[in-house]
Amino acid sequence: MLNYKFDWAVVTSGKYLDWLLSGLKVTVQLSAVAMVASFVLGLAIAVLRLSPLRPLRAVAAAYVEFFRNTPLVVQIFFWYFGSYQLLPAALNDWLNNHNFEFGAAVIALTIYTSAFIAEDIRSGILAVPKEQMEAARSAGFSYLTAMRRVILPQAVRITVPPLVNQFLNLTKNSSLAMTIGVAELTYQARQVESYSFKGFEAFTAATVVYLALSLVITGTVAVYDRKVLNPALGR
Amino acid sequence: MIRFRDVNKWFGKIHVLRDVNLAVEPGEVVVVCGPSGSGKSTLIRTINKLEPIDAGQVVVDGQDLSDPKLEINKLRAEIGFVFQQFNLYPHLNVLANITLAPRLVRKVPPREADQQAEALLARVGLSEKRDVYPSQLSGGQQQRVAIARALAMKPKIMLFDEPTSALDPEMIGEVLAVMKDLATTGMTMMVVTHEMGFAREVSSRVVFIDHGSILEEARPEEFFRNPKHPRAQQFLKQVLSPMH
Amino acid sequence: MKKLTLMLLATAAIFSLRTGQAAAKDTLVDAKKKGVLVCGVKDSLPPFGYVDAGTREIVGYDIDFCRALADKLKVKVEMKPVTSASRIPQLQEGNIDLIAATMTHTAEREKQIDFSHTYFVTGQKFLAKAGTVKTLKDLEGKKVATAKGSTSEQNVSKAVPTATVLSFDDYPQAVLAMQQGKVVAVTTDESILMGQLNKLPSGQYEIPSLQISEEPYGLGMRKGDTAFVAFVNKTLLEMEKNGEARRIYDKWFTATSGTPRARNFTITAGK
Repeated sequence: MLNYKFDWAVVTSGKYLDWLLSGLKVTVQLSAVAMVASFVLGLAIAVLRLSPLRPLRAVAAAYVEFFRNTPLVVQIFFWYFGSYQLLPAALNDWLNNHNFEFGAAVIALTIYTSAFIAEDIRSGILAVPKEQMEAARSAGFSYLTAMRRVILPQAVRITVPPLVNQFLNLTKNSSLAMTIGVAELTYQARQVESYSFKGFEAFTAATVVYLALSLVITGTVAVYDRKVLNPALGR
Repeated sequence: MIRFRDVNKWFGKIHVLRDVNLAVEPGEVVVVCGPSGSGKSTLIRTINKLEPIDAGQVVVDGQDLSDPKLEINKLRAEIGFVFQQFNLYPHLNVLANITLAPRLVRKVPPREADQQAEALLARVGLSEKRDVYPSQLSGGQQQRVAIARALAMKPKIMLFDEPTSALDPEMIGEVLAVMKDLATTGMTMMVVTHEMGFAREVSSRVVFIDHGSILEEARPEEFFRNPKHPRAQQFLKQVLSPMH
Repeated sequence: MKKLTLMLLATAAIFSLRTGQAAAKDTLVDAKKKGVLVCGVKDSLPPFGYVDAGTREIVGYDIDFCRALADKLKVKVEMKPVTSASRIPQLQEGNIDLIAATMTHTAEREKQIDFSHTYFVTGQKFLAKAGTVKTLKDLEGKKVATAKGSTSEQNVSKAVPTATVLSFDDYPQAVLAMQQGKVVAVTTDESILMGQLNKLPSGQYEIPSLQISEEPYGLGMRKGDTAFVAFVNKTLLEMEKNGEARRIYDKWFTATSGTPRARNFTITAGK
């Protein structure tokens, strides 16, 4: 029955290891860029979502609902293939010569994730007592400055646990970039499989690496939370 | 300094301010008292437009609050506001709580802002607490920091909305002491409070409000010795009785 | 640890599953008795096997070979659509008698089934904008698209090591990337490329004659079905000799195809 021979050397040395490592590098780059960008964008959307101006609120709500409820792979295709129809030819040429696969994947991951992050931060903002806004406005702060200097720092702290979730999802979602040929970790694992017929080893290795990445993210945030955020709140 | 003319305000169907007319002159310390739900907090919150009004006119420091050209943030910078629940910024330490608005609104250079903040902390007796976070302070200490925070803007007017109501009894004194000290400097103050001792000793005028109307307005010695309105008499009996 | 070992064993078992041995069966006798020959064919891969929009029947190059065999047997023919993954198990289980479904003759498959003589030869080629790819040099340092999980990628990496290969989930995306100039060419089996080419505006795209691998198609039959295999091979050689094989080829690759393709093989007993 057991005629499958495990060969872990396939993924622990040689060119297949190099492939997996280069895939890891791309996954980390994709995730890191999209993480920072989606956080900033999500923050902005969350603030718009709570703006005193109704049109801004409506636009932000539409943004969240649209990008949260459209499959990520569709969004990736939209930015990669769909944008072609909308952009001038010269820009398309430039993009095609500058690793647009990676760029389109980053844009899609950023926008998709930002919609979720915006909702998390919005709940975080709503969890900050409204008296904080009153105190800041009473001191002469504009709405935006009060938001930025008083409300958001507190909201983000409250938002840390769901934010970690979004970052973990983002890292895993980045594997969808392979649908447009971005050679990230899952792509490379598949590649190793189709060359070596050692799919089990290749995907086990990829799984272990994703797990390790997740632990790094969770751990980093946990340390940051304990060393920086909690003392500030006196917890 | 502050002028209310025929001010009316509703919360839905509840008429919270009825035909309020009141003037506060520079350097005056006006205490506003009345039963809970009388509209006294709403009244003080209209002065820096935390609560908009529905009819009438509020003029502060010569500026009509209903003027569409009013720069509300500029005006608010001139008005210190002290809340019942302190509302310190929990993510900032004491010093940063005090310097935040001067630095960002008044554009005071950081070093100068720090020096001013330290002077104010000394004034409220909390110099040694400059680096701790609000959650590490007692209620009384937090309220004193809140007063220092408001003073850091060098305001023309200080508003206090029940500044001692949330405090344990043993901490009330330390906050009132700071407020008394402030009154002696000639600051224009409006204070919503049940602390009748403070009203008697420090205020220049007492305003009694109930059901949204100002029912009595008098010098403190007169108000306490000889309240005219029956509801003011009843109110005084309640707050001054040792059994209350 | 014990649990983990068990899990690993179970997974390995799935990886190593083999369908049960084919029952010794003489299709030649059975088909005559039943009066029908059942062929496993592709139903969405023109021009090999696809549903004709007018008649709603499956037609194509593979189908015509099935019909010829059934005619020779003097039995009716039935077409059963199969996928690349299901065709061999279906044959082994007796659901179909013959695979005529663009199946490449490989050593690995030969362990499980018997192949007829080669009745079509294709290989990995390129689909590109007309005139842009003339030699493999035109691909050096460029991006080339293919679909995942195929061996196409390995072949092109071997033939043009400096090319970057982008693997998409499916061919339509690879073709779109080529149309939008994101890659210079799409590479995979010629038969698949032809199907894609027919969907594109005519004249703007082409399949240059560059070929980087050879794939002979054979008809598949159950292992040990010796008499039937002999019958099929004999019939194929007859069809080559009397010109019917060429007629079928011309019907599908010259007359109805947008891009005429030269017949680059003859059916012989060699393979």
